[in-house]
Amino acid sequence: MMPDLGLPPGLVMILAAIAIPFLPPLTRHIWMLLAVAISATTLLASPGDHLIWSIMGLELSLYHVDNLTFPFSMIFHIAAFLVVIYSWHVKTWPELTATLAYAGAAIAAVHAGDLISLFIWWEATAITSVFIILAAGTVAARQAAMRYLIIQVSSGVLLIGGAALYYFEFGRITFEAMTLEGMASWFIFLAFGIKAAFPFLNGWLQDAYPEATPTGTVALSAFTTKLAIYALARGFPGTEVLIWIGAVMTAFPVFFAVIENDLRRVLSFSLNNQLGFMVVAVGIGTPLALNGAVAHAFVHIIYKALLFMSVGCVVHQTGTAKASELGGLYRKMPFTMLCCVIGAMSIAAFPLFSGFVAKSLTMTALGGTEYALAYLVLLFASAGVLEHSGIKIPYFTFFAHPSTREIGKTPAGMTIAMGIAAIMCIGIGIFPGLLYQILPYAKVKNPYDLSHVTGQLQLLLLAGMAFVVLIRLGLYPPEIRSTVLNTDWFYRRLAPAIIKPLVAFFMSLAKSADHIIMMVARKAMAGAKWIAEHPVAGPVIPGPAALVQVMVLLFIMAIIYANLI
Amino acid sequence: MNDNEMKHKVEKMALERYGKAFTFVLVIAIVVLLVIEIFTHRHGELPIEEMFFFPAIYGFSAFVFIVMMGKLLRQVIMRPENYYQDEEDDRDDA
Repeated sequence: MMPDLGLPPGLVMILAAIAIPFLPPLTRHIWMLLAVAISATTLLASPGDHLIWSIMGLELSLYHVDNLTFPFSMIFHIAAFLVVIYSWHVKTWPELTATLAYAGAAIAAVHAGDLISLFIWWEATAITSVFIILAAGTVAARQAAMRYLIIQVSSGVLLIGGAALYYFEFGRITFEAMTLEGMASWFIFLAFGIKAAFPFLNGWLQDAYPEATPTGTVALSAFTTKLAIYALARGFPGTEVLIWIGAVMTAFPVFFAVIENDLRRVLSFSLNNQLGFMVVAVGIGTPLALNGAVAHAFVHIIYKALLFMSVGCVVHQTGTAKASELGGLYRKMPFTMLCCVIGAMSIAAFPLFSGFVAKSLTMTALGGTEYALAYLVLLFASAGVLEHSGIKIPYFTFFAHPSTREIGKTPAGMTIAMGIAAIMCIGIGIFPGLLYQILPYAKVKNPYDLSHVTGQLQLLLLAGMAFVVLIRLGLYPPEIRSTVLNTDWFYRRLAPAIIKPLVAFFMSLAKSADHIIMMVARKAMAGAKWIAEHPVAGPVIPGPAALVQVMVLLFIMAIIYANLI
Repeated sequence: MNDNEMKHKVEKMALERYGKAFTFVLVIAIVVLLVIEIFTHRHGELPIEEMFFFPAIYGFSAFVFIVMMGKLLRQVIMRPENYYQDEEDDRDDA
């Protein structure tokens, strides 16, 4: 059965988003849920290409469905649903419009069967998400949004450049598995790498996401980066370099997360580290590993949203996400605390929580390869995940220090969305078959065996013990109001530090040149004036006449010279 | 001692109590894991992983290493909270 609306999946959400400003505020969320539900009917479509547009001799496949698009489309619809519920109290249209259009663009991108339509939706996610950041309305958000836009559009430019080169090289634009040979695939790879927040291309993520509103950050956390993981899984499965890129991604953000004070920024570092696991899985490229990447992306969207939702709820109630100013909220916000702990245990991959059933696929797949070092790095990073997301987030938000802060009532939408996400985290953890049945490749066996469970528990509980020891010995770094430099420093500080003096130098050079030219011109004018005012042959021939004669003479000489040659 | 200070003190004691209870549960769980480790064979993906209590030792060391490195990293990359603000505000005015 295939619902035929003649529209690619997600587009109905973009069209519905346009109507939001004209609807009464109270009906906007119902309208949004309706749009998500209508778009979700496309999940029933059978595999194949359902909508082809021929344009300028190119065949654009706007509605491609296969085993890989299905789980991503499904989780993007679930995420869109959760975001709408979570933002039920938001009545302003700019954020709601941007959110629905952004989710729609990401869903449409998943169904792009060719590189050109992928580019269109790729850019659409960039442009729509910028408005989510802008909706925060602060100066910091505006500046971060502009930096974010430049980086995201650069990714799009690389993608369209790569697509064009790919067309010239192979004569087709089908979005298919590629190898890293030639400029075309490298361009496309880099485009994906920017959105997947590869090492040194990651600054935008930690820079921009925490600047959005509490609801906006939840929306942002779900789509862009996971779209990039989808794109890598389709375009570059089994590309060895991804194993090492991913391994660095898992390890490198954990150190930053330890010392970061803004908890939404800590979650953004954590997001980056999680993407690393998925990138490694894509790099391995076996059916089990790719299943691991998809499963991880699926559960990650839910538990990361849950974590962002719980911290967002705290921001909504207290006005801050700074660890140095929070703590002790467990009594005031017990439900939010519970949801946060469930999200934390899921991301840390405790058995019976969703992270465990996804991560064990990747770890098993990696364990069976010759990349033992990468395996150990991922194991190390797993302890890191426990540190920053498993412990730091709930501990510094809800415990750590006593709090006498007065807290208002949490909006019902926030509570419901967190509750649904928390149930999903536990549900998938207890019944992994629910997730495994929608994975794209070979069947997966149950991860709950004694070795897996005890091994994982040993890692996590002893790492937890290390936290207790460090806290009791006073060795755990205290929360300090600070800015932690990240890779965005290169373009926010280093580049201006180099370019500004260079520009100043060239400007002064131009100014001097201008000065010299003006001086020479002035002298020449003065000379000409002097000649014009002084007779050169006694009183008979006046200056101007002499000048005319010289010019005529020069003209005649030029003609003679031209005739001679 | 005013009401607020009193509340603060009671809260602090409650947090300490929960902290102790958490540590106690954690220690019990670790002892159980140790017993299981002694009496069963745990299969690992890598040979080294099958070493006695390897994930536990690795997890503990990794955690301590991350935190200590974090502390060192603070010396290098930590800046005041308004580090980026000043310049950007200027630019904004311009």
